[in-house]
Amino acid sequence: MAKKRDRLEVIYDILKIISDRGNSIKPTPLLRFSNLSSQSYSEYFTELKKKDFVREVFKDGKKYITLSDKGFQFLEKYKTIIEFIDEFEL
Amino acid sequence: MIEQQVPIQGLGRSMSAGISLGITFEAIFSLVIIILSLFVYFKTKKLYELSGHKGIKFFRLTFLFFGLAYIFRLFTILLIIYRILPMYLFRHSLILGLVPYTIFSTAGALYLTFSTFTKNNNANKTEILIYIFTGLIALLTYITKSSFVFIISQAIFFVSAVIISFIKHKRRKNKHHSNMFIVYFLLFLFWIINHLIFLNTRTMFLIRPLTYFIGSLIFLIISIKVLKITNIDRKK
Repeated sequence: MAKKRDRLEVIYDILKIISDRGNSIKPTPLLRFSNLSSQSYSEYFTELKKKDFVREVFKDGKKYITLSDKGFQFLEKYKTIIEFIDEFEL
Repeated sequence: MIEQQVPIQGLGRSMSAGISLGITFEAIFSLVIIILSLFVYFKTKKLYELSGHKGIKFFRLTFLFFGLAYIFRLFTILLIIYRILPMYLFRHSLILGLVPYTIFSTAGALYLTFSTFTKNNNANKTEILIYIFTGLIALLTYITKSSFVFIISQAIFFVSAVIISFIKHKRRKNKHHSNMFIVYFLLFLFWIINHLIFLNTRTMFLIRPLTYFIGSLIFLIISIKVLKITNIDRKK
């Protein structure tokens, strides 16, 4: 059975999905690829929007989700964050 | 600095100079700790802003409060060196320095303790608890005019942090060994001895420079670890 992901891991996975798909993905595929329940996804997505990690853009009347600069920074710093938490046993 | 000292009445010149040198060491040591503590606090700012991780938040606040404690410690030392106030105000000024020192030291020790097990607790409730405990300990210390409550409480918090850190270290499944519990243990020893020295002026002067040196070393080790990890991105 797969290990339960912690909060930071889930955020990283969601942002990575968006980044891997050319920084533009529709909400439904993102929910599917994130491997989360719709309620959990909704909670995480709300948090990501609130923290300005992701943005919603409209192209040809369709909604897409993209990463903001802060979202890219999180992806860059993720390993550093995990290493820090590990090193100081937080 | 020694030449500018007001001679302490009733003591010989060499003893007076010795005490002045001791106070100078205290001031320098406090400054080193302030700089290193605030360095850790500001260097980890970005990591916390991006992650919102409770453990990182508590870790940062530990060093912020340690830094603040030492600012007031330095303030108290400078009040002793430069006796520019009349005696009746001087005593109140000492309290103005020592009470915040007590409060911030306790808060720092509590944040360090709780940073080791943030996964199992609610951050908001924890912070309320920290402030309640800090206030109670500061009040008890002030009322009893004794450092006993203060030192015992600090010892309990630090021992808890060391034990929890050790248990987490033993349960670790991955191969990386950080051994932070050793650093926390040394920090605990230094912190307690340091309080005993600061609050008990009869402590042997030989122990003081050694304690200051070891204390500075511990904070330096932590600062270097923080710098090493946070600078990895830049190297890439």
